[in-house]
Amino acid sequence: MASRTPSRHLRDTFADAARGTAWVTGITLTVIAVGFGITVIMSMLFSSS
Amino acid sequence: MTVILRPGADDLRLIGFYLGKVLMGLGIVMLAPLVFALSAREWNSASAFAIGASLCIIAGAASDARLTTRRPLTWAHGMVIVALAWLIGAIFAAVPMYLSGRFSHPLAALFEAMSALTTTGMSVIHDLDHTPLSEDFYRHLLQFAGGQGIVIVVLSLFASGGSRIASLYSSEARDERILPNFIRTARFIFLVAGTFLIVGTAALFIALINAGFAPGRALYHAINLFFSSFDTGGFSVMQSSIIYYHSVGVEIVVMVLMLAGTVSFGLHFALWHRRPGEVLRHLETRTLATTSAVFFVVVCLGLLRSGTYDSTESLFRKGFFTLVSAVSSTGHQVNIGGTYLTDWGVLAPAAIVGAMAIGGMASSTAGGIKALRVGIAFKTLVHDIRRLLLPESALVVTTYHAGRRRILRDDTARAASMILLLFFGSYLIGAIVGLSYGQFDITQTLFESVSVGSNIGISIGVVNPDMPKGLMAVYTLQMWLGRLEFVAVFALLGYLFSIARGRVRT
Repeated sequence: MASRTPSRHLRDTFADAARGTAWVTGITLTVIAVGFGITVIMSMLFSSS
Repeated sequence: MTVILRPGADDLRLIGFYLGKVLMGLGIVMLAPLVFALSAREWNSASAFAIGASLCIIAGAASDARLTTRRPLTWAHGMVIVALAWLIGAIFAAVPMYLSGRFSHPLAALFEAMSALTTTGMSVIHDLDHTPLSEDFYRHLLQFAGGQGIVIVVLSLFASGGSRIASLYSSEARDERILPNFIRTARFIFLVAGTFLIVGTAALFIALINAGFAPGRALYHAINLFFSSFDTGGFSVMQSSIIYYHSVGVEIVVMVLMLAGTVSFGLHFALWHRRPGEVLRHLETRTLATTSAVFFVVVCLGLLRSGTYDSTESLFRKGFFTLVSAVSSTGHQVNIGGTYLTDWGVLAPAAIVGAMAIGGMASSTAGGIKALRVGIAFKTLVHDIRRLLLPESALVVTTYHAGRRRILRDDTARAASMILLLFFGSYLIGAIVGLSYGQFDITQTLFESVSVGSNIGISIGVVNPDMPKGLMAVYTLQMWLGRLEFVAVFALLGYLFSIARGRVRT
């Protein structure tokens, strides 16, 4: 297998980092949105006011 | 009868050599706040850092000059080095803190240093709001170093071969080997942290500017908040923690960083390399999602029943943020400590205690029992029930997904259950010692003990600068044990026993 040039290696690492960070951020924002959803549903079901 | 052999001079020399490397690394870490203090003209702080860094570097250089050895590390050496490195590292890290004059006594400075390195985030500093900038930066920097794993950080910089530090990597409660080579694994961990450092600090900077901060102050707060959020540490720049900012934007960015910090580096690796399906399949993600959802429903129920908040927005901002802070083992707070006791009723704090006990994912910066172990314990229970119900001749095989499909073996189940029990023992002992002072009730001492033992940092008010010294010492031990997940500390105790009582090699 041909070895990658340093610039190609850097470009690949940057792409991996961007992809990984975007995924993690997306997942965590989804978790926060689900948390908000649970809060709204629980408030509707159990709010005393 | 098993014969215990007494470690020889060569063994102690080897341990001293690696401890010296760790102290050298710690000394280099102290140079950053030293430069900061000099540039900010904080002369007292600068002299404290100069003394602390000099002590570490002199000790490191002396061990390098006198104890150099090419002897290979064994697993026992690895365990002893890691256990001692975290203890001695905390003692040396406490030197500048004590010299700053902001701690009542040396034990308080050691408590703070251990809290920083183990990313617990409990604080006993006096007058945090008026602490010099460089000293506050140092506290947060220690959390970053501790979160990444101080031993692995230092040795990946100094050690020459990956195989030599394999035992140290595992002893530091990082049992997931992401890449075949440990140096490359450490580099990947750095790369993830570095990427989030840039993205997270930028996001926090924007949120803080939006909240009305001046650019210089926003940058300072953003960097420190990043260290304490991504490394699930929980220290804050201001005494009132995250409430100080009164900003939804800051709270959301901090929550994203806390959750990113609790994701295991193995999952980060999968996401970096186009394997997002791993998130849904992994036993740990499933366990964490299920337990967190259940705990949050209980928190909501408790808060709604006690009528603590009158709007959905307040319920979400206070309740969900606290749950994320507990699950990720960060300890950032959007409530004043006493609120949990006075306004939250019983149900919601109980759910927070449960979430704190479980903590985050294994091989992440998070603390606690870890979701993977809870998942394995549950799988073991189901496995045993199946074995009872099926005919004796039936072969029962249980599998789980953690990076790949694995068969649940007896030794894995036993190890997970053992650590689980040890954590519960730690929580109980801390709570009983707290009760013995007669100043606190069981709710307070159990809450605080779980928070300290799991390296969380959410406080109900027991930890404060004037708390009893004995309790402070017990909490310091709990933080040390919790961060190393007991095994390395027990190995150290065994090693000390073999020094005292072992048979001399012939």
